[in-house]
Amino acid sequence: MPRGDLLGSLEHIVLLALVRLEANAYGMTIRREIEERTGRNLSIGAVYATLDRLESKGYVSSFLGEPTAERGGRAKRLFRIQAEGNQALQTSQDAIRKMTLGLRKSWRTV
Amino acid sequence: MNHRTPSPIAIRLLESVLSETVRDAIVGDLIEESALRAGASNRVTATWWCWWQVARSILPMLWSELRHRRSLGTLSVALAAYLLASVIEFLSTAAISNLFHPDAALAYILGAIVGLATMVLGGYAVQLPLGSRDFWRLPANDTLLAIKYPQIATLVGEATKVGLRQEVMELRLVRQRREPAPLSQRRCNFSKHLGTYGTAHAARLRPSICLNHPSSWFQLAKMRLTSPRCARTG
Repeated sequence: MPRGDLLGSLEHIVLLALVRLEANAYGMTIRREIEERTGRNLSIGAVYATLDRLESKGYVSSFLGEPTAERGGRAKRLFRIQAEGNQALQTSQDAIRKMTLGLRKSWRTV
Repeated sequence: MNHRTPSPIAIRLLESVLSETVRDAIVGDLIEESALRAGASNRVTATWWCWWQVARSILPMLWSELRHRRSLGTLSVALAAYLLASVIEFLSTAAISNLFHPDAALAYILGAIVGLATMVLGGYAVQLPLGSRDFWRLPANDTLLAIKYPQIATLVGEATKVGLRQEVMELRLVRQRREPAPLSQRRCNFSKHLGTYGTAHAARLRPSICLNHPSSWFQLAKMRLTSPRCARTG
């Protein structure tokens, strides 16, 4: 992971959505997956901006699918998580797990 | 455009701010989800949702475009330098006009000195806080930047004898053979890049001086290239 950076919260969520959706990960399904699971109503632009950032870091790759009629004849841009993305996700998950270890009791009393 | 598209105007508005590489994907996603929403609820709700999505997507996409083209850094630095220079210029002109008659020759000379000093200091001051940011780094695939690596610095000296074309060819060959780590993985800030870049250009423009005088620009460039501070920090 470059410079030891952790993922941003949106990057983290988008990468997890990619893992969940596997081969069917594209803008709309990623947005809907996040909305259904977290209740966070993201704009499609925010999703693509995050995916663009992740792609420039080498965490995800994208390729064009076939154009379909229900999309007005426009092709899907499908995304796939890369090995570096998996590693980044693991590092971030580990960091969160370590930071929250033993804190559950304190949270309840706050 | 598909007949189920809830709002062609919104779609066209979004298309106008998107680059070709993402336009079809984003607009297609919007059309697909709008159609799903129109089927699940009604067309008015889907139209509102579509407009809301477009309104919220324009800003992140513009930001992403700016980041992608790396023009934001240039724009912000140019603006900051312009503002800084304007303020200094205004204050100094006011001070000079108080001291001298506006038509006096000394006022013109002082004005020119202040103007030049402002440009130099303004540029220097603006790059200071941004020196280590990514967008200041010159592209890693720039052949001329290969001279940054100490192991090939000596070849530049040979290259100055035969001109730019051969220099570029030799540097390309060296890059292919040795494959140094990309610059993005090395820490070398803008001022160091600029110093190296500038002196190397000077060396190329004045090959006779470089070859005949040991204390020439080229020697300086070579010294900078091989110095441990700038050479291998990555």
